[in-house]
Amino acid sequence: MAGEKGDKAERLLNLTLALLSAKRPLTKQNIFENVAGYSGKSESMERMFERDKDELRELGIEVSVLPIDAFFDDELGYRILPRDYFLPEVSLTHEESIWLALAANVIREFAGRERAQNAVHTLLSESTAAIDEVVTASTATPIDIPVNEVLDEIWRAIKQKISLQFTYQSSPSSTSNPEIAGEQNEREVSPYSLTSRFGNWYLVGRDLKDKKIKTFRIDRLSQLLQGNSTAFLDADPQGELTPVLQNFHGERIQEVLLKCDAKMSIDHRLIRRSAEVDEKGDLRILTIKDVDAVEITEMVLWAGPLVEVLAPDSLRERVHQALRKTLEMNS
Amino acid sequence: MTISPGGLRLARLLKLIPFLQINSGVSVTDVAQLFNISEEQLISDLNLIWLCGLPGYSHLELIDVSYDSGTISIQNAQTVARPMRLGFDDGASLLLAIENLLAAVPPNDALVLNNLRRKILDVLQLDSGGPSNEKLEQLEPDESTVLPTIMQALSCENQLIDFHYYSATLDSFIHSQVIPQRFYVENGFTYLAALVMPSRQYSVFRVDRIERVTLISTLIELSDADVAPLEIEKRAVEVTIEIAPAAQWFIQKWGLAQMKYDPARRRYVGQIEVFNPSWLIRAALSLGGALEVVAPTTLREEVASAARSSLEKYREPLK
Repeated sequence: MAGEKGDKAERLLNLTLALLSAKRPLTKQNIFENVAGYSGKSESMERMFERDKDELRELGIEVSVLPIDAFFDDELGYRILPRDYFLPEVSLTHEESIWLALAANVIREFAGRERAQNAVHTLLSESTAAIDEVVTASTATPIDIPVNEVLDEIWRAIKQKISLQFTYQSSPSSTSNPEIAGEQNEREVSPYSLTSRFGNWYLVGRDLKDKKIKTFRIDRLSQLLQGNSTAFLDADPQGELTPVLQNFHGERIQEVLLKCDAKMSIDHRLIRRSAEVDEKGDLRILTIKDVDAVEITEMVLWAGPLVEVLAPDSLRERVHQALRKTLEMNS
Repeated sequence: MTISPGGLRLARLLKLIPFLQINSGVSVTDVAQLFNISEEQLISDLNLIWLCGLPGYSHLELIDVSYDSGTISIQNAQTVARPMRLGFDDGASLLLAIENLLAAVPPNDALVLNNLRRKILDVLQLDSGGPSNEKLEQLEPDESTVLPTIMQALSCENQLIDFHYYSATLDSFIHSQVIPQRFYVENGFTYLAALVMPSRQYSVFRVDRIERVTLISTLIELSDADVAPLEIEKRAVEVTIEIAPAAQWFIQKWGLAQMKYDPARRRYVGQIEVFNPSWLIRAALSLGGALEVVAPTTLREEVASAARSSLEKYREPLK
């Protein structure tokens, strides 16, 4: 049967090329007369073309039905419009190309490997790495990486605008009843986006119970199901989503000045993160630009007495308060 | 509708043709490996492509394929010079792989994967979920990703690498030379087991803390007899701590499975093993009062002393 498969793929490729290169829509008659692979009685060619068209659409190739003459719509023809067909330009760096080749293969237990590899095969044309490097990366021995398949379900629901139902375990700090370690309750949410912070993934969506946009930590979701698609509520990206995401991702500080002891290694992560390092005798003055307020607070406190915040005052005060609380708690 | 074998083959051909045009002269072996097909299947695909083209089907319209010398070139296929759009199901699966990798890989790799994720989301017309002013950060010119280099080292025998690792206990980077042995998962974290040179002793490193690696060209002769077994340090101290619910992320970050929520105390309570008190002192300082050392009292006093020492710097307001 190999011959039959070859014939069909050959006809489908010829049809795709003809429809994609056509400057004007092609009638069925044009196609039957000119595209290689169509032969036999008129009805059988009609059936063959209908099946081929369905198959192309199933593969994600949009076959447009358009009037042959722009002024009269009584005769229709077919085209694949380049704007519908082609992958938009994607510019991949060398390192991104290597990781692209690696990402689909590197996780040992990954149910979506074949589909992910299909995506890689599409994007490989955008690679800027040498072929031998890409081959080495794509054939590397897989390693154990824990996989959370829920993210895939959520992307589908976002794309298809389908609400999700799930059981959510809130954290003990957010529960209304502190006697209970993380209440469990049922939620129905219209999902909008997936985002991450400090290594955790979060779903951003509208809780259909109180209609508020909230974030849900993915590892606290269980029993995820598709909800009622008619219940999906849209969100205004600028007016609603942007403020929620900005609030969620937290305050950023444009410039931080730190004084650090010369004993601190030149390789320290605060020094490596600095835009400027000013040597002043036994001291160094570090300037760090555009940094997450929580992240810099944690880094300064972790470094201990070797570092002092000089500016801004808000960060200095935050560090001061944190140290006082640590002292109170452990005295 | 189920896609027929012919349809699936078409999908592959429509990826192969642009790839082969952009990478003219690529070998049959490499392409077969990259597209997960046998060399025979690839040759059969090339023979099929050679029969196809635009209506007219003369040598002017047919795609020209050559693979005689083991390297492939394709001409006269400008109609499909670029690949077709990324299908949502395929793109979503690649995103799933990337999003799961992001939590496990070193910082440089995470930066690159995050950029790749953003580009795939753009292609799929999905929102990245980042802040509206989020910029794509790039690696410094002298930096490279870590995991691909380690995997390359693992594919060779006894490949030595130059290795920079962040030690949270010391709050600094450790620089050494190691021979990677294998990756493994424990408590939800991925680790690299490696031989540290020149002692030839096994050690384990959390993969997400490996900062930089470079392959070293020196070849190492190594036999099993040379390798010192992994010695687990027995100097751990049992410490009782309590953590406020607001710092629950810390329990997850460090894999402290022993910490259990106590509704009566409204805190997580548990005993953990601490190999180096410096780590616990730094952790307590960084959590700003959300971590209390209950016992031993000597360690509790050390935390208080470190907090006092840091506070000295903040006693006077800045002028």
